[in-house]
Amino acid sequence: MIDYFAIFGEALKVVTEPQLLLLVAVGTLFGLIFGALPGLTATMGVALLIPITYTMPAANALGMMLGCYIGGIAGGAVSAILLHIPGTPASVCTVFDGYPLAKQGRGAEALGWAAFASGWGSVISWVVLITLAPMLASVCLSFSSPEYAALAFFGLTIISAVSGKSIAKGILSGLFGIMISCIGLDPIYGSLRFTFGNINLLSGIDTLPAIIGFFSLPEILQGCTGKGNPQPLSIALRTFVPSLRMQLKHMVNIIRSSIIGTIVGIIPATGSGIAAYIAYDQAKRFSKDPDSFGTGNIDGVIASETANNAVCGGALVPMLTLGIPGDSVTAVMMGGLIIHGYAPGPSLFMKNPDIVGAIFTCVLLATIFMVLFQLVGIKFFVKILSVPVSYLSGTLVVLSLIGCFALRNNFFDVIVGLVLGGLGYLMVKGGFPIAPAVLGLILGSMFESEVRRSLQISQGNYSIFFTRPVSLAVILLAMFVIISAFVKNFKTIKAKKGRSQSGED
Amino acid sequence: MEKSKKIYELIVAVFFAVLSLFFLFTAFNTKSVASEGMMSAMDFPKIVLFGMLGFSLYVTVKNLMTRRERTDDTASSKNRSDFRTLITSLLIIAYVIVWKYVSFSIATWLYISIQAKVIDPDLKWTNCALIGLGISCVVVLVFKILFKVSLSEPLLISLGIIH
Repeated sequence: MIDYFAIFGEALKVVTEPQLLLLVAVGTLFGLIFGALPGLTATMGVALLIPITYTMPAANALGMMLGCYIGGIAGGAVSAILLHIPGTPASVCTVFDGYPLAKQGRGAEALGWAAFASGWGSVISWVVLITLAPMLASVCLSFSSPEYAALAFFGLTIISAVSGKSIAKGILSGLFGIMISCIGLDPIYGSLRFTFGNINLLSGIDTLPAIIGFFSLPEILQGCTGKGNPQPLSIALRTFVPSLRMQLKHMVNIIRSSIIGTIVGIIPATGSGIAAYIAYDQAKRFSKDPDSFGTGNIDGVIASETANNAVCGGALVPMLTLGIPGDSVTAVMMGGLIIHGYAPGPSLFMKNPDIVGAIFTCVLLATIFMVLFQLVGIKFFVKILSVPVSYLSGTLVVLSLIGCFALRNNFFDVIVGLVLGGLGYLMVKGGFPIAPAVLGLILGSMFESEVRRSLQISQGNYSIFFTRPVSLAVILLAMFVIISAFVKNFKTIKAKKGRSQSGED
Repeated sequence: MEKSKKIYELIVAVFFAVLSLFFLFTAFNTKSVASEGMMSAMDFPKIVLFGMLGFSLYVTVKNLMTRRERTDDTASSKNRSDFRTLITSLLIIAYVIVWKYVSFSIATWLYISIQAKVIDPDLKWTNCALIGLGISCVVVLVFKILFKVSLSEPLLISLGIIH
């Protein structure tokens, strides 16, 4: 029997303890800085905190780590919006509309929305965490390889949504991303693939250097051709804090993206990047003005930021209820929990309701601190935009290349970032979208390994994907997405031809 | 389609076609074992590479068949911006080499200073050098000292300035 009184008793104790409040605040700030700096991820931040918090009481240590987790995911939006460099893989989709907004002089507004959207995502997934955790965890853990494969397939169909004007170029870019994900050790038999005798390629191409290379270097190379014209920015509070009326206007998008983020978070080994992509795609589909996505639609920022932070609450569900981490950060955090003598899993709620209460409360506190710090910080963050291009350009190159290097302290990752950055520049100049390549890189290996595992389960019988209800439903959904994208593309081409013919007449 | 975009599109499409052909050649020449009825290690990459080859050929053919439009860009401004991009690309490559084999902090200082001068030739060298020094100090402080990222400093170590 779960002792709810003990959980709420601990929650009350947490909010009245100044030391713990301070540690959660420090952890959140630390996470925000980590998230905002390219190459430093929330996983790395939490891992760094484990030795620092080792001697602290468990509640304090976990509070600090949870703060870092939530801040780390949200912080990626800062560099994504202002610099076109996703601070973390979770904020890739934030770049699509956040950066165009910043270019239009609406960077502060985008940052304000990112802070609130991240806050809403965390709060909604927190509500799910404290109310439905055990039930949801058991449902999502019934997922097996066919369901994962179907989910990855569905994720890959989003290529059509992020392809821009040419679906053929989008698919080509996506296939290139999937091809890169094939480099390294084969996930099933361990055979070497396209390593060409290079030891650095054994573990494949890491996602983060590739993302940094693809997104930041093309933008820097394009930006270095002019002196720029930095405008003095006067930022008033009302320009970046979304009003309650505006928040209610976007509430459907917020709730939809939160649900997507929470569900993706609960499913182990998926991650906030995938959640952001799916939420962005859905926001575009349900939008009255889908063509404005990618050119500075605030709904794109809201969907991405809400979903990636909703993953935090979702990922804690299987960790706390079943002892299975939902993503890489919760895997590290689980280590921290074990170091302090707690075994995550079903018994945690029975034996240690106090620690469960502390975790629940710290998630909410960290969310509040995260929104506050981001709002306070906006005035300072946007100052980046007023730095002359001549100095900003070089600094961004340095930050991007350190970002590539810092993840594994491996110089090979710098070369990867540089090569893919150069290719990304040529792709941008040639009108090839970059986002599908990143999507292919993130989902390609998951899709391949899950398809092959499913075939092993079924002895090579492909019907396994169509005889399981969840897998079948997801595949049908993906087919619908593909067909609707082609129909839309066909209609656009037809309308374009019609316009040009009437023009000739 | 603009002339420059058409050229870049063709370069990328041809690059992807050549890359996929090379990888396909590698895939077909790599031994990969699999149990009966299962996918071998190279089966999935082959499917992806054939798709890539097909789409890159489609984009190439479409590109060659499309007429190019005239653009308003004057030749001199285009050449100037292409020249700056080329210089920046070379500077970045030089920066990475100096970082690896000489010193991260010295490379960062030199790179930021020279890059600023390349983008805005009106800037004074002393200003570029001083601001470059300030930025590289902050970067070293944050990443090397605060976050313990092991950025290479072979020159400073050999001179005994740092350990």
